[in-house]
Parts: sequence; structure tokens; C-alpha cells
Amino acid sequence: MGIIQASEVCKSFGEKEVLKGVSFDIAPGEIYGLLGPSGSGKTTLIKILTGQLKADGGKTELLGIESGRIGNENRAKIGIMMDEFGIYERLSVYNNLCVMADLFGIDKSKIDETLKEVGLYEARKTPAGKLSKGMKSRLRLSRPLLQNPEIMFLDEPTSGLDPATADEIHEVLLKKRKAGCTIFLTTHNMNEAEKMCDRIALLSHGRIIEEGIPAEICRKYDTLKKLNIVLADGSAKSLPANASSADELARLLREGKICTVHSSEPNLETVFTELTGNKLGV
Amino acid sequence: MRHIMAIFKKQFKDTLKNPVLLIQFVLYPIMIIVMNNLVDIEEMPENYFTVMFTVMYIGMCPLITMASIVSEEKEKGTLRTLLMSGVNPFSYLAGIGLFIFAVCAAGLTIIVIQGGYSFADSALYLAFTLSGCIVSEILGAAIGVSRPSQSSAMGVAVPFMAVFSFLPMLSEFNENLADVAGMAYTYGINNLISGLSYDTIEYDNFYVVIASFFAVVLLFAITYRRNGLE
Ligand SMILES: Nc1ncnc2c1ncn2[C@@H]1O[C@H](COP(=O)(O)OP(=O)(O)OP(=O)(O)O)[C@@H](O)[C@H]1O
Ligand SMILES: [Mg+2]
Repeated sequence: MGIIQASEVCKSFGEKEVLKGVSFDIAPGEIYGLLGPSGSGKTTLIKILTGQLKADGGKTELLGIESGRIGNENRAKIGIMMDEFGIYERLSVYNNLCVMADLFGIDKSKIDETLKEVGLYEARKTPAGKLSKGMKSRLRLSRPLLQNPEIMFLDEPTSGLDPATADEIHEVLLKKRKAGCTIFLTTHNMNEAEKMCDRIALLSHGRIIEEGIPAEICRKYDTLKKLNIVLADGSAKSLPANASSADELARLLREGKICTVHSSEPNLETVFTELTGNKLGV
Repeated sequence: MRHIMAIFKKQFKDTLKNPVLLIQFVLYPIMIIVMNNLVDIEEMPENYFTVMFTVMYIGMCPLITMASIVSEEKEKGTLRTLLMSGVNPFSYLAGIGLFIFAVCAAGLTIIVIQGGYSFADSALYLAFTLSGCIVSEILGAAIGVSRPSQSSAMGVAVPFMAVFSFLPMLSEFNENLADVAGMAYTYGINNLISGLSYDTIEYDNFYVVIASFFAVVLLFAITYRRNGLE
């Protein structure tokens, strides 16, 4: 039994069908990544899962409870980060988290700990409204982290962050997973998805068109099965990725003519673009 | 209870950082002290400024602050953060309401002390004025709940505020206006607390406060049912 479950979720806004039967089952302790072009309904799906929005059809459950019936007593177990969740702009970073700590009865010493994790400790006295975009997003992320929930929903947790900071956030999330937290995240960053997610799902035109372990998905779409070789003289060569190429490859290696070798296996980004016919927005 | 206290604390810290709200809370108490000490007109009724500004304070401060806080939290999405953290809508409103009530109680206490009332009169003064604050707060909450943004909430709150805080004063100059003003809870409170200074309290004036209380509760129930808190 999954800790997050969706079956045949449908949602329309007026005429526009955003979700047309989305199903998945996420195991406890998993990091599940939802990828999809801008406007494909990722945020909408998070809202439905967390009970902020009613689906037109289908069923969703968190912790075995139907999304629409999650009582206030269970909210502490579910941490959510999304842009629609405002921050108190006049209050300092620290006091923003203080509100959360007071609500959940969390020890104040945890606040500094969390601020250090997301790299906002230096800015803890800054009014939240004065933070940069990336810092605001880290403040939003720090709230579910402080809450230490069983499930976290993170809507684009690292968008707008520089690679080094994003890496730090990744470390924090991996640590949380190790501690048993289940993480559902959306992202436009394919590297992030490949690196972080145990499983990913590609959402396109209202349906999940592919789901699985990132590396396996990439291998699945390796239709060419070739080795692309760049020789020392700058010319390129392509060999079938099987035993028939062994002799030639060995010869080239012995002669020291090889500059680089790559398998033709596509990266996630290529797979995504091919499947959705859509370049990813940032 | 923990949630109500958390909201109360949040609002306290936020108000200190928000000059617009702070002015609402302190303007009239300061005005009263200044006017009472600086202006001295011969045949002016006793406690004239105290009564006049107290009524304005009641008609303005709780109404505007309540409507403004609730609608701002809706607009900025902080309310969603709270609700999705398991805060019950009524705990939220209670936390904000309690904070405004506490500040107004403090303001009115300062006013009554410097007004030089006897202890018994002070108690009556506070009872009358604080019931008015409750009516104003509920009205403000109804407005805050029904409007999607702070500016649109202010658009609705300001006319109400103008009527309730200025009508009692204006009706002193016009008989016809006094008849209309009779329907305003602030007018009732105006009569009650001006009576204090002359030992002629007409308790009938409290009926309109009670009636207004039920009216705003009903109004709140309707707007809340229609809009929820989001
Ligand atoms: N409240 C709403 N009313 C009407 N349409 C909406 C509403 N919320 C979302 N939509 C529409 O639903 C579609 C999906 O939106 P959603 O925000 O879920 O996309 P997304 O995948 O999160 O996109 P992005 O990657 O840009 O964040 C969009 O076409 C959007 O216009
Ligand atoms: Mg989105």
C-alpha cells in the first residue's frame, strides 16, 4: 500500500481538461518526481493530492486518508511547499518560522538548525519581503523541513537557485528521505530528476506518459544502440553497441586514436523532449 | 488553544512592523490625550473630546484592522499557509480578534484613566465601549472574509467606518440625522458614555448595540458560508 496514491484523477477548468485520468502509487520513503511541460497540471495535481482542490473524478489518498478528508490533526504530518503559500513579508525570516514552530509546538532550537540547512541562517533577521527570489523560495522550503513531516510535497523546490545552493538542498532532501520521509516533487530540471528521484513520471496532455526509474527510462529509449566516438583527428565515428564492434574499438584504442566515447543512450531531457514534443520551460 | 496563541503572537509581531495598523491602534488614544490637555473651551460639555474620539475609535479601529488583516492574509496567501498547517478557520479569526480586542482594551483603558472617571463609571465605560469593539470586529471580519484583496476590503470597510464613526458626532448638529443615527450601535454607545458624565445613563441605548451584535453575527455567517475563509 502506497503512502501517496492516485487513481484516475481528472480535473478540468471550464472547458480545459487539465488531468485526464492520472494514477500512481508511491511507497513510503520514496522520492517521486513529477515532470511535465509548463501548464501540464503538476501544481494542480499537488493541490488535489493535498486537499486544496477537489478533483472532478478519481480518488487520491495520503497516509491512507482520502485527500478531501485530511483533518487538521493530520496536517502536521504533511509538509507542503508551493508558491501559493505566502510568507509574512514584514516579519523576519526567523519569525516566519517562529509562527510555524508555535503552530506545531516545535522547539525553537530547531529553527536555527533548519535555517542553516537551507542556507538562510545569515539572513535570519532580514524581513522576508526583502529576500531575493531564490532566498524566498528557500524560506518556503524551510517550513516543511522544520515541520519534519512524513510526506513532503515540493513544487519546484530548486527553481531559481544557483547550482551550488541547489546541490545543498538536494543533500538536505536526501537526508530527509534517509530519515524515512516520502517526497513528492515537481521539477523542470532534468539533472535534478535523474540525480534525486527514485522514480519519475512524465505528465503530458493530462496523462502520465512514462513512469519509472530515471536510468531505466533512458535505456528504454535508446533506440539507436550505438557508440559515438570522436577520434583524435576530430572526425566522428558511430559503431553499433554490440560484439561486432569489439575488434575495431580495440584497434582504435590500441592506436590511441580515441578522444571520447559515448553511448547513444539519450539523457532524460532528450527523452522528455521526444515524448512530449515540447521543450521544457525553465 | 495553541493555534489561537500562535496567531495572536504572530499578529503582535506583525503589527509592530506595520505602521499603517499601528496608527489605527494609537491615533485616537493619543488624540484624546492631546486634545484634552491642549484645548479648553468654556461651555464645552464635560469629557467632550473623550466621548467623541472614543466613539470614532470604536467605529474605526476594530473594523478597519480586522478587515485589513484578514483580507491581506487572503491576498498574500499566508492564510492558506496557516489553514494547510491545520489551523481551524475559527481559531484563526479568534486569534486575530483577540489581539485586536486586547489592543483596543488597552487603548480604551488609557482613555478612561485620563478621562478622570470614577471606578464604577470606568467599568461601565469599558463594558459599553468593548461591546462596541466586538460588533465592529465581527463586521470587519465579515468584510475581510467576503473580499478577495486588501484594497477591495478597504473599499467596503471605509464607508461603513465613516458612517459608524462620524454619524454620532454629526447627528448632534441635525435632528433628522439623529433619527437615522439611532440605528447605529456607535450612536447608542455615544449616548451611553456621554451619560456617564452626568449620571443619567439611559440603558435603553444598549438595545441597539445588542441588535447590531446579532445583525453582524448574521452578516458574518452569511458571508462565511458563501466564501469560506479563502
Ligand atoms: N484556478 C484555476 N482556474 C483556471 N485554470 C487553472 C487554474 N489553476 C490552473 N489552471 C490551468 O490548469 C493548467 C495547469 O496548471 P498548473 O499550474 O497545474 O501547471 P504546472 O504544470 O504546475 O505548470 P508550471 O510548470 O508552469 O508550474 C494551466 O493551463 C492553468 O492555466
Ligand atoms: Mg506549477
